[in-house]
Amino acid sequence: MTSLIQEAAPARRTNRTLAIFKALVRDPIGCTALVILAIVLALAIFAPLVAQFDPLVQNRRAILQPPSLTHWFGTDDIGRDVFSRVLYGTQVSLLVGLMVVIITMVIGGLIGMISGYFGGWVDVIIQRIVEALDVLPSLVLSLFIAAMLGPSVRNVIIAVTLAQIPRFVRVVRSETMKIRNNDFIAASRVIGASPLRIMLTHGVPNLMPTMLVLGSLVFGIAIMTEAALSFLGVGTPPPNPSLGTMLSQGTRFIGQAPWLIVFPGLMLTISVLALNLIGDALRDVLDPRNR
Amino acid sequence: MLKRLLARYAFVTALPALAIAAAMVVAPPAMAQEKHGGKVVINVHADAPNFDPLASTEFAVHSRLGLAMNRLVEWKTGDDIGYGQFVAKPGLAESWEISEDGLTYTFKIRDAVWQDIAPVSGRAVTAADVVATYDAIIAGGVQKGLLSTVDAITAPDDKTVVITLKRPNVVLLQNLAHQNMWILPTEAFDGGYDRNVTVIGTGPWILTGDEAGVATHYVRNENYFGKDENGEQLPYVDEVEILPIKDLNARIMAFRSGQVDIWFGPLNLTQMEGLKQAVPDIQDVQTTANTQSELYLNPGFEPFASLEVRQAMNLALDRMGLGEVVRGGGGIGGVVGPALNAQTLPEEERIALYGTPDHEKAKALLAEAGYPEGFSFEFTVLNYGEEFVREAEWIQQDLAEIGVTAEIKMIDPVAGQAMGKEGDFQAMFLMMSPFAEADEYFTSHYLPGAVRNYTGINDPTLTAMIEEQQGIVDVAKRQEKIWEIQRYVYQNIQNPLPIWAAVLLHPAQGDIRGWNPMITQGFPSLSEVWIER
Repeated sequence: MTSLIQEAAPARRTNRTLAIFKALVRDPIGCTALVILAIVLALAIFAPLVAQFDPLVQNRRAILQPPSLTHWFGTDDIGRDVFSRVLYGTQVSLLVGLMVVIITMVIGGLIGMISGYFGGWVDVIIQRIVEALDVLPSLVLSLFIAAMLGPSVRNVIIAVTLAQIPRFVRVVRSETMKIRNNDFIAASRVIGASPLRIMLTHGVPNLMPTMLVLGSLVFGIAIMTEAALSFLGVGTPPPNPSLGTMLSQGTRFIGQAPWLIVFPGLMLTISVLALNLIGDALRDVLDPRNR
Repeated sequence: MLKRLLARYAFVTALPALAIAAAMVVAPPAMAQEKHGGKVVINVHADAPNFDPLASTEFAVHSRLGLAMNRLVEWKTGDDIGYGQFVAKPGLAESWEISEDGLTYTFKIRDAVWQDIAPVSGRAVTAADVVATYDAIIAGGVQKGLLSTVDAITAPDDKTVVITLKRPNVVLLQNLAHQNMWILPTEAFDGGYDRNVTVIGTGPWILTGDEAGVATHYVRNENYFGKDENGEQLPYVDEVEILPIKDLNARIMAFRSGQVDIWFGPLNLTQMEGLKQAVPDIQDVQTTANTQSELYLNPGFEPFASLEVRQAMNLALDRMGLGEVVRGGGGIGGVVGPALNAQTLPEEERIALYGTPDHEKAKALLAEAGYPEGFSFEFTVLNYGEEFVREAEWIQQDLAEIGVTAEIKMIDPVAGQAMGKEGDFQAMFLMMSPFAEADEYFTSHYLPGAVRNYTGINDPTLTAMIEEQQGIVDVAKRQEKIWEIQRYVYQNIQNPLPIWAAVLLHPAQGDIRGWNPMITQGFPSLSEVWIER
């Protein structure tokens, strides 16, 4: 009997994930956003194959060239191909976003579950720390951490992650508090399941929909924050391309060479918009009231 | 018949000539337009925390003091004088003599009076004021280093100051004209008034009000000693106002709206283009910065210990392209920066030494040094802004052309300078402090233990040459020695590598005349600025 239940559980989870995906595809906005995100992802992943030029190499005979058949998005003020830089910059942005989401989900989710499941003084301590972090706007906190650590992609990931963890902790905590009073949790406790087992087997699957929605939003926020940090000079270090750095440097030539900000700006807008739309669609799909 | 008529009415034919002659007498010549009057507004992007010239080196303080005070010796300005070129002009000293051994300077104090502010109340300037100021500086002024070679300062009479030196110092006059060396009355040092809040000088304007965040206001000093070349009383302008506009965009808007007449502070070429579009009759006054970017190669990192490697890196760099593309103007760097146009090597020679890249020769030098495949190093770049970072990226690609990989590491300027002092870097790219004399370049970069000697240069021959030029009184001979030192550094030291001095922009509104920006603080040409009507 037990073995039957254990075998059936993963199948149910797979079916549920598939059902969510199918529902997402049926949603017109969700589907469009998924397609856009897939294209952006493909461009970023296959950047070395798609890009015609090395994003770091300066062609000093082609300074500030407007978009053409050779340079689709034009060239920058030291002759680098903007199309290649946008693709590689997107790669950096998506990497930062993905890493931030994964780390935040794991750490923020774990802390939130502990806080919500145990309650009492554990909850009080965790929530006071979270509140202390929440006092500062997330961009200011990220800026402070990134400036302290120095400009690098790794440090940007750390800075954005630390600023986004409180958001996850709060949401997961409240969801855990709702779940922990259910009968099946009480039953698990009665049959002697440890808190860790309860959290992993009952907490995580039940929290996953909420975390997915939040994760998609945090993904967008992380991309925007990475761009903002790079714009302010504490993000991705030069000469590596970053959408934020490109925007920052492009502002100097806004009248002379508008393509320097149009294309990185478009890519940033499209990526973040797609992620936000997916988040919205996921929320609609997972909302029991919409079923 | 016609001849008779002409003879009879000859005076009629002469009428036009008479009329023209009369007009020439009656009408004022175009050049004689009244220059006096009006008000000029300047922006300085910080408030003055106080007005004590001995307490700080802040530009916000000294740029304001310059309107109300004088030095013993001043910087001459004019269309024919470069931005960083020091030409001594009598200030409170109307003349001076230097003894043959270069150890005694005798200054004659001019007939000038202090501004009519209690407790000094318009009394005559005396030698005792100069001695009191310099004594106070030596005792504890921030600028006391400028008088480090002084042995004694005496006043044999009311109008004579004698400065004797411990050893010859050819830059003494320039030190006395330094932007922080304002002369104050004796009352400033004997408790007569508080020099933090009260400004009493001999300068062209009297400071009448200073409100933090609002404005510093000046009115014309009727008793100022200065005259223009035609003997006209200076200053021309009746009022001056300094606005402390900290935000760059607010400064730009103030200039565009005509609220500011003379721009002071950083401005890049893109921003200048925007100003030109908004203010079509703007005066685009450009000079070469008295700073330059420099690439320090730490010999503690094995490849940079080799002179061949440093020479190869020098040959890899396309500085002229960098200046044109990244900076849009300025001057190629040198051991002495290009702003000091009388002391740096001639431009053609600097281009030959630093502005003629040769990648094949560079690769051969690397191979000779044992690095035929090149090498990698950490390239610490101090974050002085986007254009500076662009210079670093330009250098990175130039070095890649000869197989040398530079991994850029961005760092805050303050942290970078601390790293430089500790020698904790492989290669460091930074913007040098502004210098106004070749001696400052030499003593700060190449003497053992000097403040900018980040690479630990200790070359006895070079040290001896630097000390020798400090003692040469003859101007032409010293010039030769200064050039010889620069060539020696190129041949034997090649560290730091001078890169580029950026273009500086000093726009003024179209009706401002006589504006000649100068390296030193205090707006030395302002007394000769006038407003065209």
